[in-house]
Amino acid sequence: MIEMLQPDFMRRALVAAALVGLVAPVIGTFLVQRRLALLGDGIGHVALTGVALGFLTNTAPVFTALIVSAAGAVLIELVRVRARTSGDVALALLFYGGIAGGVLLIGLAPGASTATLTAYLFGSVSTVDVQDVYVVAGLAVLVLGVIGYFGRELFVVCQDEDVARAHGLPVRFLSLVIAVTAALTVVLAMRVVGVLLVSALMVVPVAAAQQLARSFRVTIGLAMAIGVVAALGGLSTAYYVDVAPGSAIVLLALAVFGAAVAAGYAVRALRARRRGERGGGRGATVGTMPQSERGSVSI
Amino acid sequence: MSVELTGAATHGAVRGAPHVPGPPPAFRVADAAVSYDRTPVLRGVTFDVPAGETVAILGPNGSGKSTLMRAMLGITPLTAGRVELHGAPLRRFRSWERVGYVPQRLSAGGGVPATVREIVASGQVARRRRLRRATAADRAAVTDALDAVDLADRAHDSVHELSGGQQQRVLIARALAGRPDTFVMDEPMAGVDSASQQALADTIARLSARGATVVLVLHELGPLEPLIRRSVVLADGRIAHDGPAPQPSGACAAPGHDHQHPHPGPDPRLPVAPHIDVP
Repeated sequence: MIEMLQPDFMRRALVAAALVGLVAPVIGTFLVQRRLALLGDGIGHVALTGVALGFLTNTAPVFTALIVSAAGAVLIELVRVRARTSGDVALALLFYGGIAGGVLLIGLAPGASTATLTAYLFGSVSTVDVQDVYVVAGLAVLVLGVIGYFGRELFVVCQDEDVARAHGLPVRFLSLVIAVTAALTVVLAMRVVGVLLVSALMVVPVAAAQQLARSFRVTIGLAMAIGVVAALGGLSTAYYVDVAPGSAIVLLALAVFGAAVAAGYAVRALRARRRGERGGGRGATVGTMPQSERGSVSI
Repeated sequence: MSVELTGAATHGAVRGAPHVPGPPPAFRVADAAVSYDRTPVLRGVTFDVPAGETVAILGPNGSGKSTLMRAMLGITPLTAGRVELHGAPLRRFRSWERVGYVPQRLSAGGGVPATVREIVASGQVARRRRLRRATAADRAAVTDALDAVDLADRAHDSVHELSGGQQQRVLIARALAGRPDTFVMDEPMAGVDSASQQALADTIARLSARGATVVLVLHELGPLEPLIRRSVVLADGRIAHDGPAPQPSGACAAPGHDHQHPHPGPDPRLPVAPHIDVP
């Protein structure tokens, strides 16, 4: 275990991965509640266009990716509101536009090819340098700050936009806050797990946590813990077994999800039995499909 | 103007002396029109809801009653006309902590769990400053709201584990938690079993007695009937009746009668009132 911490690159990689695992599920929880679980992936594709633009203009790719993906995040909100497309269609447009733009621009950049993009597609945690670690840490602080500051309002907006409007909340502005924060998170995670797997770290720990938790607060906390464990565990596995670190991280998170589904069944069955013994009160309906509208009424 | 028809006791004194200006009406809707895709849903709707009054907005499905309610809160933009809330045009209204909105149902969203208490506490979002922790008074208001709907023992359960009627009570508690004086409720009785319906009616009666303004969008008056002295009945996007609640007659007037069928013809005692029950 200690031997793994000897090489500098490994220490930097572990710090960066832990930060990503900590921050990605926070914004991910709000995206999942808003039914925009794939937003991270969509923004990731747009970030590719940003990376290619960086190579083309000889600018730091992380910087251009940040600008372009933030612009993409704003665009998707506008498309969702203005162009009468549902969220998932807006996402699809973003996916295709982003990947097409990235491949087109990287072809124009001298000395770069689609192979250049591969490092960003799948992440290259072993080449994370000190500056990358600072950038990741800075973005992590920013993301947590934004969520801490707007959290209460974001909770209401993600729960029910109509209710948020009836509270006088600036719904459109808050939607942009969520989208742009997601874009920041994607760019922050890009170097570690890669664009293709960023969305997974934003969503899978949340999906696992919501099997077990009953409150929003606990879901976020648990998802952060799962994110960190998956990031550190996956990276360590990759060090010893020599597999792709991004894949190891995501597969580990998925394994936790599988375990959480099973544990969730057990916990709910136990709770229902305890409630039954207390007498009165109906047992909780057990369901693992997070999308199902349990307890809703149709008239 | 329907003010004379209602005779609400709370503001009787003010109305008796027309030269003394009372508080501005809780809602003033003037010539309001809403269109979806250029199809008019609401046209030329004008009415006031004086502060302290309890009003039912009735009408069949598609009559525009939900749209009217949404327009009154700025959820749906008007295509023409004006809405004022407590004397301020919607756009410039800032005292949102005075408004408690109860939507028709709890939105499931993406299924991230939230406890009953978390949802109820979120009703205070308009009155609490950013980065401030909940004060003792805030927490007391949440506890009171949970007690009012009899859900204190479920405070730490996930809302998704509750029945439809219990979720409805959570939504009402959420509106109560902000301690507003103006309530807008969209079908608060839908899907609620009859025992809870009476409890909800009692809660609304207490709010009303305390001087709150209550606007209820309803299919039928049901157990709320004794509370409601004024009904605004919509038909085809216009106001068809504004005044005392239309009285059901015959078998439909019997207590416990479930309005499931269309009436055979217009109620002879109230020729201006359209059907308000929905098959």
